[in-house]
Amino acid sequence: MRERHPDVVVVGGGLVGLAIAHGLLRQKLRVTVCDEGDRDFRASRGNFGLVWVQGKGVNSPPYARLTSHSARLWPDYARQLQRDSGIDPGHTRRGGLSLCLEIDELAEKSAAMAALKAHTPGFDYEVLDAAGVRRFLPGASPDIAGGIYSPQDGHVNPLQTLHALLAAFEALGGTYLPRCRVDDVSHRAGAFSLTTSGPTLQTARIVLAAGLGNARLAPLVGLYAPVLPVRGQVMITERVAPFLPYPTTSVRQTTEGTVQIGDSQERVGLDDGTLPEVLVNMARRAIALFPLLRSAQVVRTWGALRIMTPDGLPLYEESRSHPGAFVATCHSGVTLAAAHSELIAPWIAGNDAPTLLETFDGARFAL
Amino acid sequence: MAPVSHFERLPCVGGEVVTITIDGEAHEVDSRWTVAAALIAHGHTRCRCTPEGQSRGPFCMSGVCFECRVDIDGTPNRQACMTPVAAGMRVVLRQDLRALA
Amino acid sequence: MKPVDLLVIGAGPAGLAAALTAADCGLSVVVVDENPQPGGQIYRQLSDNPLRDCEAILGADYFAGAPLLQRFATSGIDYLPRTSVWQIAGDNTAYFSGTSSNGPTAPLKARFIVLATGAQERPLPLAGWTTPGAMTVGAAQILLKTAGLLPPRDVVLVGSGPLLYHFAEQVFQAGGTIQALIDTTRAIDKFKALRHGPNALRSPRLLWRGVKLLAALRRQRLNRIVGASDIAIVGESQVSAIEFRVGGKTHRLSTSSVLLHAGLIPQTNFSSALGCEHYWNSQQFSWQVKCNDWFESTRAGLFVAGDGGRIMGAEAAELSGRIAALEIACQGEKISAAERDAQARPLRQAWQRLLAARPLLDTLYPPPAECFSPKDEAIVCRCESVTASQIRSAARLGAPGPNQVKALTRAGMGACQGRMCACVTAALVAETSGQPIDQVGMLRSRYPVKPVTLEEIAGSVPAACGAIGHPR
Repeated sequence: MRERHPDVVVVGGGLVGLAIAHGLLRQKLRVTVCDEGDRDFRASRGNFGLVWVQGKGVNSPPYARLTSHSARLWPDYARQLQRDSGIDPGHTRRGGLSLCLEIDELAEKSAAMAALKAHTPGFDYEVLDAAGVRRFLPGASPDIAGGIYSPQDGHVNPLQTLHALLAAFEALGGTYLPRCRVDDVSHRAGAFSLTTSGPTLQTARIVLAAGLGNARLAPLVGLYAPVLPVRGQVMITERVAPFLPYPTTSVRQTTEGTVQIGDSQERVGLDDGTLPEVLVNMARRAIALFPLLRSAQVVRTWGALRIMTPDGLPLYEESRSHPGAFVATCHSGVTLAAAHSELIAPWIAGNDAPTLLETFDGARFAL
Repeated sequence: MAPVSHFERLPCVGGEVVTITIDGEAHEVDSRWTVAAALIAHGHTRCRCTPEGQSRGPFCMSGVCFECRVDIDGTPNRQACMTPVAAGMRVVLRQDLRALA
Repeated sequence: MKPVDLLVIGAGPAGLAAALTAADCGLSVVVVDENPQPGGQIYRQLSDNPLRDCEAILGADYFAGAPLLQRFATSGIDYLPRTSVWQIAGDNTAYFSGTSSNGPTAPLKARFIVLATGAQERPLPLAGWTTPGAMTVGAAQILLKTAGLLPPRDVVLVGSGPLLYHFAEQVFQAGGTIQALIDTTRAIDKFKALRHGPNALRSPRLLWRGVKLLAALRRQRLNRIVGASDIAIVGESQVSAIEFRVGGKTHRLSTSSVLLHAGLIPQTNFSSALGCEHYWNSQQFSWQVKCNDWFESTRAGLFVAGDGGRIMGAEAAELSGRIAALEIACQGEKISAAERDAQARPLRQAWQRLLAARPLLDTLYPPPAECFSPKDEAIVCRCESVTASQIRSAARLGAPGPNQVKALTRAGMGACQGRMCACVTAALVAETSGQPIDQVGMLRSRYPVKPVTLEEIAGSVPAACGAIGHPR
C-alpha cells in the first residue's frame, strides 16, 4: 500500500530518518519515508557502529548530556527494536576504550575527560597505562602510552541496526519509498506537498533527515542546515576468532568476527573513495596498537561521508515560517538513534520540544 | 572423514615429485601442481568449514571464489588454487575461525 | 619503482598482446599477473604442460597460444608473476601485494593502464552448489590442463554453454567417462538463435568447430539430458547425488562429482572499484564496462581489453589488446593517428568477424533460469552463506539494489567481494521489485580488489619514503 497522505513524511531512510520514523509509528502516526537509490551517499552503510560517550561534547555540555542520555536509553531501545523487527541490533554496553600511542596524547585526553566529567552527570572514566589497557584488551601492544576506559561506552552492529529499523518500520505499518528523491516542497494552508521522483506526497508534517541532502532541502521549508561532508576511511578484515572484548575508537571487532579499523577525517567534498596513503597510515597505527593484526587479511575498504555542521554538533529545529517542518541532522546516527526515536518522535507528534534538544537549533549558524 | 571423490591421475611427463603434508599426512605430488590440485588428487574435496558450520571445498580453481582457503606453512586462509606446491609444504585444513597470533 | 608508460594487469591473451604491441611501439611496459605463469585461463601451463597426451586431449585451440607466449618470453618486458594489484590511486599509482623473491614490490605509477583481467564463470546457484564435490566445469578443466587430473567416472555435468560440451569431449579424449550431461537450455532457445545464424556465417571456422564437437560427442554416446528443472545437489560434507525433474518426474543420480557451468561473465571488480561506467549487456546477461572503439573506458587512460570487457574469446581478446595498445601508443606520441588507424584497420576487421558469431552463441546457450532466480533455499552469497530467500526478503523491505542488500544481509561482504553473488543479487532485486535489472544497478566493488594483509598495506609504501598521508 502506497500511503500518499500520511501524517508525517520523513525524508531520508538512514539511521536518523528511520529511528525517528520508528518512534513516530510508536506514537501511532501514519508515516512515509522517502529514500533515495542504491548508490547514493549513505553514511548509515559506512559508519563504525559505536555508541560512544567519552569525547563527545567536551566543549558542549548540552551535547554531552544528549549523548549520555541516548547511550543510557540504548539497552531498552535495542530490546524494543528487536521486539518490533525480530532482528537483533547487536547492542552491547560493557564499556569501551580510546587508545593513545604517545604520552602527550594521553595527557591531552585525560584533561578532556576531566572536563567532560565535570559537566556530565553519570559519566565515569578511568585513565589507564599500557598494563591497564592490556587488562581489558590483552592483544594491545605493551608499547602504547595507555588509554581511557569509560563504562558508558558500547557498540552495535550498525548494519543489523539499519536492517532492524527498516524491518520494524515495515512491521509497524510504515510506508518506505526507495528511489524517491524529493525535488521540491511547497507549503500551503498548513499542508506540505512534496514533489518527488516517485509519487507526489501530501502531509501536515515533514522531517528532513536526509543527511547531506538537508543542505539543499532545508531552505525549501525556511530552515538552514549548512552541513558539509567529512570523509572517514574504513578497513575491514576477514573474520577471526574473538580477540577484542571491548570496542575502541579506531579498532573494533564485530559480532561476526571481522575487525573494523578506521578513524580518519578528511574534508574532500562528495568523494567517498579511499586513498592508499591514508589506508597505509591507518594500517600502521592499527598494528602499533594491536601487533597481532599484522597478518589479518583486509577484505574491503571504503570511504563514508560524515554529515558535519560547522560546529560539529547536531541540528534539531522546527521551522518558524513553515510550522510542521522539522530538520534533524547529526554525525552520530548510531549513538543518538535511541534519543531520536524516544525524544524527537514525540516532539514531532505534537509534544513540547524536549529540553535536551533546546540548544541545537540553526540560529547558532546565523551570521 | 574418509575422502570419497576420486579424480584420476593421467600419465604425465616432466616435473619433479615433491612431498607435502595435508593435515600431517605426507603425499607425493607433482611440483607443477597447485595446493588445490593436490587436495583434489588426494580426495580432499572438502577443505574448510564456514563459521555457520557448512563444509566447503575448492570450487573455481582460478582465484575467484575464495572457497579453497587453507593454512599453508602456518599462514592461515591462503587460496590453495593460487599457491603452487613446494617441497616440505605443510597444509592444514581449517575447521574454525582463525585466531590472530 | 620508476614510472612506466603502461601497466598491464593480467597476462592472458589480451594482456600479453597489449604489452607486446605497446613495447613494439616503444612504450615502457610492466605486466603483472597473479598466476605463476603467463597465459591466463585459456593458455594455462602451456609452456610446461604435464599431460603426456596433452595435444590429443587439450586440442588445437589450447596450443594456438604458443606463439604469443613464446614472443612474450623473449620480449624482455618486465613481468611480475604471482603478484596482484590491490589498489590503483587517482594518479594511476598501482599498489601491489604478492610474493616476489625481492620482497614487497614498491608502488608503480603508470601513464596508461590496461585491465586484462579476463572472465569468470557465471555463478549457477543451484540448491546444494556449495557442497564439496561440486565445482565448476572450468575448475575441472584447469585440473585436467595443469595437473593431469580427470574427473571421477560418475561425474555429472550441469548447465549451459559451449564449454560444457568442449570439456566433455576432452574427458572422452583422455579416456574418461561422464555419467550424464544435464543441459538446461530449452528447445525454444534453438529457434531464437536462428535469427543470428546469417551473421554468424561471417565466422565460419567457429561454427565448424561447434558442429564437429557435437558430432564427436554423439559418437561417444554422451548421456545428454535436456529440459531438466528443479535441479538440486545432494550431500552434507560431500556430494552424494543430484536430483532433477524432467517431464513431471523426479530423477536422482548417485554421484560424487557435479560440475557446473553457465557461461562466462567479465570480471568487473577492478573497473567497478575504479569508478568506470558500466552498462547491462542484455545479450550477454552481464554488467560490462563502457568502452570506446579503442577499448578505453570512461576513465581516461584506463583500457579494458579481452573478456574482462565483454565475452569475446581468446582470439578476439588478443586482437582487442593490440588495438588498445595502438591507441595508447598514439596517445603516448609514439605513433601518429594515421599509423594507428592503418595498423588497427585489419585487426578491427578480424575482431568484428570473430564477434559476429557471439550473438548466435549467446542466444543458443542462455544462462539457466537459476542464475537469475535461484530457489529460496539456495545459497547465493557463498562467502557469507546468504540464501536467495534472505535476499528476496531484503528486496521486499525496499532495498533498491545490491548495495543496500549487501548492507542488510551481508551478501557480497566476504573475501570474494561479490564475484560469486553480485549479479544474482541484482537479478533477485529486479525480480522482487519489478524493476528492470539495469535500473537496479550493479554492486560497487571496493579496494582491495583481492584481500591483502594489514601488514602488506602498512608496508606497501616504504617507511623511508616519508610524506605518508599526503598524496604524492
